Amino acid sequence: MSIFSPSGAAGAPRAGLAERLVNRLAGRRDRVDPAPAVGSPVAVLDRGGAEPDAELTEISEGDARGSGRSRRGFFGGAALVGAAMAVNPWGYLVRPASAYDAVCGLDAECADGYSVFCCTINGGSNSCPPNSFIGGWWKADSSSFCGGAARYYIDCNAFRGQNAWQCRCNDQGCDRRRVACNQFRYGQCRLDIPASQTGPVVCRMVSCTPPWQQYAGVCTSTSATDNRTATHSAPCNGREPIGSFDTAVDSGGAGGRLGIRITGWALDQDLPEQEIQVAVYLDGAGVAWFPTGVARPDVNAAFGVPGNHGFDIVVPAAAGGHTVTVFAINVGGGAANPVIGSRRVTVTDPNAGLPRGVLDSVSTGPGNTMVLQGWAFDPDAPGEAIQVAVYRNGQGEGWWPTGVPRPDVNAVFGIPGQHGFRITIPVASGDHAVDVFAINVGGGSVNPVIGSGRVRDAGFPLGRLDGLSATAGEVRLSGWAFDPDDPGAAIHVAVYRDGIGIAWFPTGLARPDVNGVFGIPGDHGFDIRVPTSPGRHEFTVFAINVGAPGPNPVVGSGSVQVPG
Amino acid sequence: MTAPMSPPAVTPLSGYGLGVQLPAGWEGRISRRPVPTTSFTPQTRADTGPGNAGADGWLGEQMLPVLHAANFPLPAVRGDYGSSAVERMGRQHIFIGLLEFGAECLGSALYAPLGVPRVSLADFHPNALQRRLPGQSGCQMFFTAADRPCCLYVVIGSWTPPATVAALIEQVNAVLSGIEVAAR
Repeated sequence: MSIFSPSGAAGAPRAGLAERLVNRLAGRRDRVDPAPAVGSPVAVLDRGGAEPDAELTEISEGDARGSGRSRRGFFGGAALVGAAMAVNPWGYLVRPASAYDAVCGLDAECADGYSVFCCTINGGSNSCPPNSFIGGWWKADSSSFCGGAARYYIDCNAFRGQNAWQCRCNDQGCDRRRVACNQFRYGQCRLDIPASQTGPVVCRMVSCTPPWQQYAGVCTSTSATDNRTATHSAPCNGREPIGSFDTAVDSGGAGGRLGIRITGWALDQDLPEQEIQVAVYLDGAGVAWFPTGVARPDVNAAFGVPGNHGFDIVVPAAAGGHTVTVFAINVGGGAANPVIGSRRVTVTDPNAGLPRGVLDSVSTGPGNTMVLQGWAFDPDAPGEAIQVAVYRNGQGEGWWPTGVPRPDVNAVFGIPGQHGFRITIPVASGDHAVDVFAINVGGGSVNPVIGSGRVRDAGFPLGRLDGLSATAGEVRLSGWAFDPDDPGAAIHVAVYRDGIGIAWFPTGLARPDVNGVFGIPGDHGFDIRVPTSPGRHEFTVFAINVGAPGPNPVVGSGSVQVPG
Repeated sequence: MTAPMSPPAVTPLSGYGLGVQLPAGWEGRISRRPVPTTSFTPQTRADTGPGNAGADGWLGEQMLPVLHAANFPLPAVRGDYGSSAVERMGRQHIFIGLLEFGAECLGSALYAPLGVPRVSLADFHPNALQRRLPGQSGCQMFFTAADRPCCLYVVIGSWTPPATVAALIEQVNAVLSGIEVAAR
């Protein structure tokens, strides 16, 4: 009877055993819970999970196989490595290793049974040597050789019967693996070559590009995985850049911004005289590429190369803990930009505890005044009103308390209190520049500037020509104007057409928007109709000063075509 | 009085359209790795790193079922062709891997043989291994069954003496006779 049969004798015991296993995986107990009998099979269907380490370790508990050996103990060593790979393959793969391991990886001796890399036996070229073909490929996941992505291994098989290759051990360098010995094929490439014409694996290539893309038309996309080969490599495999991530420290706010100072060196031995770049990632997100170029005579001496291969970089970073990862950017052969280090850094804000605030606006006020509005608070006493100091044209004007409700500030910073300010300062007519400082009440020795601003023509009329339009025989002008010296009064505007005065017109129309913005009473709008002959005409509107002596400023001008 | 139940002679295991009858003392796994979801582009390639794109391959890779059967405890972490398992084998041990390949392989010369094969002593050689390990020998066969291209890979723990090898091959064929490949 078929295994796939929905019922029958073959299906029944399988279901029972599978159910017991599933229950045990899930921590559930069978009602009877018998341990599997000696020699009874273990069968597991892994749906969607490739390598369920912990689950299988759990299955083995209590399984008294013929050998009597504890399977928990049996799995122990593998579980340690396997768990590291499963939980943090990246960290496992990029952790420091000996120089030998770093170059050729594990199992690099002939007796270890693996095939040599092609570049080792093919003049440094990462390609199939003559009299061989691409027979198949596999991948190792989370490879440090590929920046954390999968690394692909592509076998080059000999042609059977040609005797172009003889099985041997490579005896040069650290990649002393087997040449043309292993009669094996992964099976995704050159499907036109049958097994009967397939000779042993001569060597293997490497790439960070999926083989079905790199060798499109030659290789197909059925995946095979062997993470045991993840460290395997050879010195000639593209001569990936090398380097060291020496330090990563809090920059201490140097240059007026928070950041992390990163130092180290990076070198691509394919082009040893060239200064390469390093890519910096902060908490997994790319920040930027930075050039090397800092002198590192120790590196020059160690590798016998010219050039400046050090780097000394400050990258912006907010206060708090960060993980910094540095990649060296490949400039020669090879497919990878390897990680040269990853470090954890905590950035502290030297300005923490200083007052914060913003000068929202600076405007002219009534009666030759200027008005400053904004907010300020000190995180050391977030519920208290602090003071702000105003400097006008470089001279201190005085200190004023905050205390105006600013629920928006409370909401953003999650603090109580009333931290707004609205300050009115008498000023003479003319231009004025102001700087506002928040006065520190807690830690820190600085009263930071929270804003600067400027007003022009304080005390002079303000206004705007909002609309200029024409109909047959008539031009319409609309807008608003007022004089801060008498903000409740309706003033006049003078209208000039083509440079010639037409008349003065009173304001007096309601403009609640103007009242709201400037905090003034009165009706300051105007809407004027001026009979005008057909043709194009230039109009200019002046606001007429009513307070302290001063000019009548232009509030707007424009050109309009009057139809015939 | 009721006689104690004896363990079943075989235990069936099936999934993803593959099945095997596991003799007493054997373990089996049928698994399929997760499908990668990120396309391989210059941008995603540049965005590799811990937890980023491409860690387990790239969109377009076909993750097809893999069947492993062995008469020894299979480790949790295994390569598709049995790495990390074959290193644990003793002289009496057997590892059998059956891997499915994509439909684009149908009709090709490599996958032309039909049906789940059987093996003989002549098929085995110490060099016919993905990784040569002392004492072991292996064989590999490509075939198509139920319009599904597959590869059979067998590793046995001994190469000599012939009687031992013959006995192992007999066990291999017993398991192979219980392998079924269902049509998609």
